[in-house]
Amino acid sequence: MSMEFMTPRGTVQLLAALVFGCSGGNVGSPPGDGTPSPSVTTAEGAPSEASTSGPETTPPGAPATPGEPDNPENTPGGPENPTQNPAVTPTQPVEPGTPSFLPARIRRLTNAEYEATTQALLGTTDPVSDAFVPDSRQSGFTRNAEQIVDPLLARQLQQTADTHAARFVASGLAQEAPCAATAADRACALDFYQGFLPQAYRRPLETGELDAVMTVFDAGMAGGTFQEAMTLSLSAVLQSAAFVYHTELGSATTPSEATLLTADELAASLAYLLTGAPPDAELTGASMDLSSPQTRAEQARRLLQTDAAKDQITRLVREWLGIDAVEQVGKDQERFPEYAQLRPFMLEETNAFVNEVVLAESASLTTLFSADFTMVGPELAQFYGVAAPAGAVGRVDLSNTARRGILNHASFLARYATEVDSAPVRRGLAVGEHVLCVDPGDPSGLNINIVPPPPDPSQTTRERFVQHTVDPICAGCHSGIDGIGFTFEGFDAVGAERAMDNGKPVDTSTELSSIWAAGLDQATFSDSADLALTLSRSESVKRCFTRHLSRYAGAATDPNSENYFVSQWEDMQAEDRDSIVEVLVAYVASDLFVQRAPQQAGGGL
Amino acid sequence: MRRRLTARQQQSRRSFLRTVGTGALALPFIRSLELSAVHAQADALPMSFIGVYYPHGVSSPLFRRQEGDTEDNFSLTFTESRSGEQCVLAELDAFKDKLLILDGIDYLAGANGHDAPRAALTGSGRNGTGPSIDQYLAVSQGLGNETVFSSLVLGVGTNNAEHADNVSYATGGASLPKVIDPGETFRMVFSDLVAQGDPARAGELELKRQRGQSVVDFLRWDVNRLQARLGAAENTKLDQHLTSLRDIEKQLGDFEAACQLPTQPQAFDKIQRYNGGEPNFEAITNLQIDMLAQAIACDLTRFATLWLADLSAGAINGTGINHPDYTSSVDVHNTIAHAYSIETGPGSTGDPASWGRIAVQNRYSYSKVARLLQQLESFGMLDASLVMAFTDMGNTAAHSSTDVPVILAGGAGGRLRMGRYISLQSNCPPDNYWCPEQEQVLKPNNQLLVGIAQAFGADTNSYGEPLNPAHASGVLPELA
Repeated sequence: MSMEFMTPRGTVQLLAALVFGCSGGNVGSPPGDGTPSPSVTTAEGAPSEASTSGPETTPPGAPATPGEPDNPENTPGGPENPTQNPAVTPTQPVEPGTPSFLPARIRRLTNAEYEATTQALLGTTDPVSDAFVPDSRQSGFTRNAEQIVDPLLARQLQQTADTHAARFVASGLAQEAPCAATAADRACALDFYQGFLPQAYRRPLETGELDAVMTVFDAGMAGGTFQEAMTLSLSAVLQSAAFVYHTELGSATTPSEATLLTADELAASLAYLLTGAPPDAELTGASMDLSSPQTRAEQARRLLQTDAAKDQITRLVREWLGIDAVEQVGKDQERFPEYAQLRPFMLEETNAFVNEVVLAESASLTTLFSADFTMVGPELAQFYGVAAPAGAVGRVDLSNTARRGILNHASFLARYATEVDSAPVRRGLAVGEHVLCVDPGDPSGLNINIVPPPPDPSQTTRERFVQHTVDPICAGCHSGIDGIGFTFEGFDAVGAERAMDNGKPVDTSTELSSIWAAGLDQATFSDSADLALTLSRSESVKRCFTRHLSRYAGAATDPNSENYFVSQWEDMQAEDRDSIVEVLVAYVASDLFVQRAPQQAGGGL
Repeated sequence: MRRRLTARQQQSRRSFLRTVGTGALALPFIRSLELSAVHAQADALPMSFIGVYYPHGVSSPLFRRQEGDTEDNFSLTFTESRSGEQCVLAELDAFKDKLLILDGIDYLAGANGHDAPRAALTGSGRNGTGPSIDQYLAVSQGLGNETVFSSLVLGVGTNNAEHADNVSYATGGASLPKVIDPGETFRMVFSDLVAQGDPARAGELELKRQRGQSVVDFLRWDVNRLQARLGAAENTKLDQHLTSLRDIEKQLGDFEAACQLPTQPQAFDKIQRYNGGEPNFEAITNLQIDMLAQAIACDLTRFATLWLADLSAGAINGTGINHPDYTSSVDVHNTIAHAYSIETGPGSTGDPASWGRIAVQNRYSYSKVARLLQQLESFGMLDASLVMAFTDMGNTAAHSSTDVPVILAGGAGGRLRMGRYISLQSNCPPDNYWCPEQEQVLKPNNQLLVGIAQAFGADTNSYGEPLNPAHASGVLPELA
């Protein structure tokens, strides 16, 4: 079974060469490894490798991977399934709307969630998780149930917990536990933890939990002061499993039972999803009934008014489009000396823009892609060649520029570019994967020798990549990938507008094959602004966003539940389908949010 | 054949450490005294494994075994005629009898160029669930239980968790983050150690140990309680958490150094790649290597991986490298590695000048491997070590995962026959780097990992999750 093709995504897999130019020919791969042929490809984890040259190859007709359902959108003729391409094997349709729920599970808080939770609990605004190793991601999202407490994080948790426990005991404890000033003893500690622990654990205390913390307190008192004992025990709480994991285990008594989330789990799920922070007093109130979809929707709308929720939506959009990774992308310092200074402002623009779309534009996906305005400060206004806004960061008009919407932000363009070049392949793939939900797969499985087009000062970037579309093996996918990428050729490696590339005029026009243009109302584009406007009108694009949102909200890449949510999304009003906020509210109100399937069987090695 | 220490031998070794330690400010010779004492009793040192990743493949014409050379008789200092460049392995020539060079390994599991670091030590692709070999030996096989740190995962320049940037993976498949700040390496590994004969500091640490133990006991109780509600799949996450707690617990004890402590390294204002850290990379790399060797010498760990950065964007600073194409803003990835050109078919010639350009990066990487070997040797640890130096690609421009070079180094505890250069693709024409498909032989990386696992005494005949499970089985025959 070809592991790498079991991409658990609800996306079309078109297998082809994509990284660079490719010269075709059967070289570079030893016999017997059974690398798949581009003419027979896989979709949705159902490999059907017909090129059975070696034992590595799965026989044709091998069963699909269990638990990898087919994506209704990938059925023949579906809006995102280009059947015209011989490289695409149609998959079996799944009955739309078949309920499918995520398994019961635990999820480690993300670094940001850990920080917000600690800050809320200790009443501080000090940074908490700055020193942590970065979150590991699934489908680009930091919110995912695969995160673990590895040895390095365990140590960083220990250090952070020690630091913040000590600070709290020195400054905040007196207010929370007045007895600390008058009768700093075991009874005082016990009294404090009785009120404190349920907040820390986001649920009522269970038998033995208070005693366990007090055992640590006692160890601290042996040879130490009350303050030392409080610091030690509080630090232990801040590292505990009850604190660092969010549970979605419901009331099941065994792992093999389906279940409903408990009221406490629902309150925490709602708060972490929408605000990235623990639940507030209203959510955990005794009269709150979050088992009601209407109540969940009402509470979601209440939370979505908060600043934390606005930040959380910008995080969703950044991680969906992969934009925040621009912080990991460097540029040639001699050619782009301004980049290092501008990079923070690029992210600032994207954050402010998403906020503006949410606040002033009904959170409209159409506007997100098509906006002829953006939100910048003076630095980026100058970089874009527009008049500076009135305030530090403000709304500016882009109608006289080549930029429309978020895909023409410098952050996106610089993120998907090399250190020196515009990288049409990266930009095309990014749009394919994140906006169109078309995943061309991985060319390394092809029996071809991939040779990148060498830098050539006499050619434009586009001219160098022409081999992709000359060689028929590559062209199957690259006509689309590169075709989309070429529309962005009016922007260089850092996202600056350009008319010339290597002394020649850039060419941003493209005609996409029907594979890639499926779901779009036009197939020819004059430039990336034209592309952006076309994407903004497409229901397929909104459906693709809904898939990504489902991965984010569900903290999992699970095609079954994703397909189920998409089927619910299809039933929404057109106007609501276009709204990031309404789609989020719909997720919260969905039965997906409340119900959990039995835990997954099996485990690691 | 050497064996691992038995528990009894281990105990005598520990008591020896304590005895020798009393009153003596420990110096490197104490370690060698201790080792020879153990050696006399047990005729074996516990083996260490260190995986070293370096980027951008190799300049194959300047790496490949020369025509006429044999497995046991080969040159690492030859000059290649078309480019006029010396072999990139010359830095390692001093350790020639401690090298086992394997040229022509295949990363299977659908490894793809930049994703290959995921496959190199796991033998698995992006959805793999098995551990990397360092974690397999240290955690799954329990060989890391006796040391304060089951394993160390160090790096230079990036600590993100992406598959392209990580080589160590836990059971379950989660990537294990790297420590990239030498200051953090020092604090983590050495700062709680005291030189022998510092009773005041030792007393302080004893109180800290008792308190720390109460916290670990609490944390473990809390994890165990949650585990009771979970099935096997979910429990994989908490098993890893328990592994982490065991390490924290071990760090509470064993605080008396059996070796010389390194001094606190300088602080670096910037350490991240693409964020201004590059000019510090040379100093950071050397510190990480030296502290890693010292941690092995102090028997603080026996398993580690080290991620090396490239020479891009100012990393050239302080290296002494002087080459017109390696400016302080060079982008090795796009302008050097992507422009590497060898024969791609009959009649094509490649570009010999490009071989020399990537060779600069290769020699830098191998100089760091050589530094690690020197450090291990100076502590008397080289014979008991197995260093595996590996890269992500075969033909770096093509991003190929076939025909990849792997260098094993050290004495490997006598478990592997070193001093050899094995050309795994010997059917390919030696004077033509383009090798027809029918001439290539499948040499699964998985079978190399099986061989390494067995060298450490693991009872397994299979490693990793390649596309074809059959390719996971058996030991690469050439290792024998």
